[in-house]
Amino acid sequence: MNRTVFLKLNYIFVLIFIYLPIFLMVGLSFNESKYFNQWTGFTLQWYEQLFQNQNILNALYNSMIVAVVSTFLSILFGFGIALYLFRVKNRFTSFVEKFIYVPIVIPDVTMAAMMLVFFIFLSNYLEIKLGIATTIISHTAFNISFVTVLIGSKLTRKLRVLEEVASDLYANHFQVIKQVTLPFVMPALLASIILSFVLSFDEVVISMFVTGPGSTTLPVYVFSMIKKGVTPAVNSVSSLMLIFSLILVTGVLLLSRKDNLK
Amino acid sequence: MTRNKLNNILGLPGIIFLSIFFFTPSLFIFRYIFGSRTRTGKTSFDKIYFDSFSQLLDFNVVPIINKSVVTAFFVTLICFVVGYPFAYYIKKLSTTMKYFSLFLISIPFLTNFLSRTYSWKILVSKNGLITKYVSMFYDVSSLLFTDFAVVLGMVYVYLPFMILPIFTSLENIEDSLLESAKDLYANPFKAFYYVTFKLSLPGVIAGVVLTFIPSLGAYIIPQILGGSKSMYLGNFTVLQFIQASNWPLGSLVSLIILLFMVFAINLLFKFEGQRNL
Repeated sequence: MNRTVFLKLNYIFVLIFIYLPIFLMVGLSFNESKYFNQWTGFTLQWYEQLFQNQNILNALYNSMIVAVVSTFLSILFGFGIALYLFRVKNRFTSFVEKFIYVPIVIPDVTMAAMMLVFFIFLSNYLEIKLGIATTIISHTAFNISFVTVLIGSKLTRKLRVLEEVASDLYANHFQVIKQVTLPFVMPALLASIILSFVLSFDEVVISMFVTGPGSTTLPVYVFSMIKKGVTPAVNSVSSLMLIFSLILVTGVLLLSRKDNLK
Repeated sequence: MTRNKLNNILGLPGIIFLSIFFFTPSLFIFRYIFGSRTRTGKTSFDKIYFDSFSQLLDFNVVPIINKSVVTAFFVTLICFVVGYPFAYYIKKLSTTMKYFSLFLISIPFLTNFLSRTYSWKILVSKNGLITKYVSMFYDVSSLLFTDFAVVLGMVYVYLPFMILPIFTSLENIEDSLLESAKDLYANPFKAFYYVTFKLSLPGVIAGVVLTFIPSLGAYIIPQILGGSKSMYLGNFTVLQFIQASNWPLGSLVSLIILLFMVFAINLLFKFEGQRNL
């Protein structure tokens, strides 16, 4: 009896612990008062100010470009690697299968450092400047692995059988990909598009290292605001970023759920 | 034959991209470690230097490593103590509630890290909810910029990393095993320890590794909740790159973080391997 009560209390405590700060922050972003310890009334003024702030809008624009382009590239490269690993089995592919996890598990500080030294070293010999392009390349470098692993987990024996059936029925290589493989992995493909967009859009440390002046992404800009203190502006921009990624992540989870039920 | 060629071509662009923009950069870190910081802040490579290694002692990096490891240890311990009962509880819930709870735990797993750390900052800053509560017992005006805030912030952000793998391994335990333990007159405690806990160990180890590693190299959380004075491995590294322009030392410390990670992951594989035997 006591044990059940303890487990239940722990359960409720954890959920409150996780969600209370989030709700508090979103709530405060609608607070009229500048101070977070008093509630004086509901307002949207902090959000209005946000959309008049040119720095934030520029950063948002940069973030969007980086996220869209790096998502596109990671899907292109990552999906290709996943199919390659699924169809070809040799020593090299078993090495790639293991190595592909490194960009996922590497600490972001380490990856940030190595991308920075790499680009700066190259800039001695080539015309390279830290900016949007270097940020896109770095984001693609860690997103490819997420795409490969996520799609790879759906490339199962069932798909292999289906592909064999299709080619027995005289489908050529492209017909197999178009009519069997693609529909089969579609939910995982959509999920990895959203996931790599979110991962790129939320990334701070690596972006901070490889962006140049004028190409700051939104999280990097917000990070510099947060370091200064708790303000209504930070409340509202953080709430927006959080809600945005919340919606997208819910999409990923629903997609993978649907996929598992299939 | 042509099919095989096509399959190879599918993977080629991605593999080339990763070799140039991930594998090669990782080699550059090694070159920078043996460089030397010049007076202008640039790194000189004209010979092999060992400056970064001697600076490990000169700049008191060892206490920073200690502090980071101790912090990561406590974060992992708290996550385990809170996370294991949580995973155990939701395993026993009805299917709908189970998936709903999993859903609630998975969301913060992936949503904006920065915003969540910031939301925690509101609670521990002056007049924040948690500060008010703690100040009833202790004489504090603000918990912000304390190690306490850093530990709690890390627990807050990394707790799902502990819960999810533990839940997965608990979910794979067959109920019949527990029943047979009972049939063999094991008391509930023994049944739990010898069946449930032992079989969930792989999930526990995965959870431990997944919380320990990011806590050890964390940069954002110490920076926001610990302030610029408290030094952890993550923000010490960033400091070397961004402000001190001491790239050789920064490279060496970032490699140390990586080595900790490799060590932890090896440990993980070792346990997995033992289980498969």
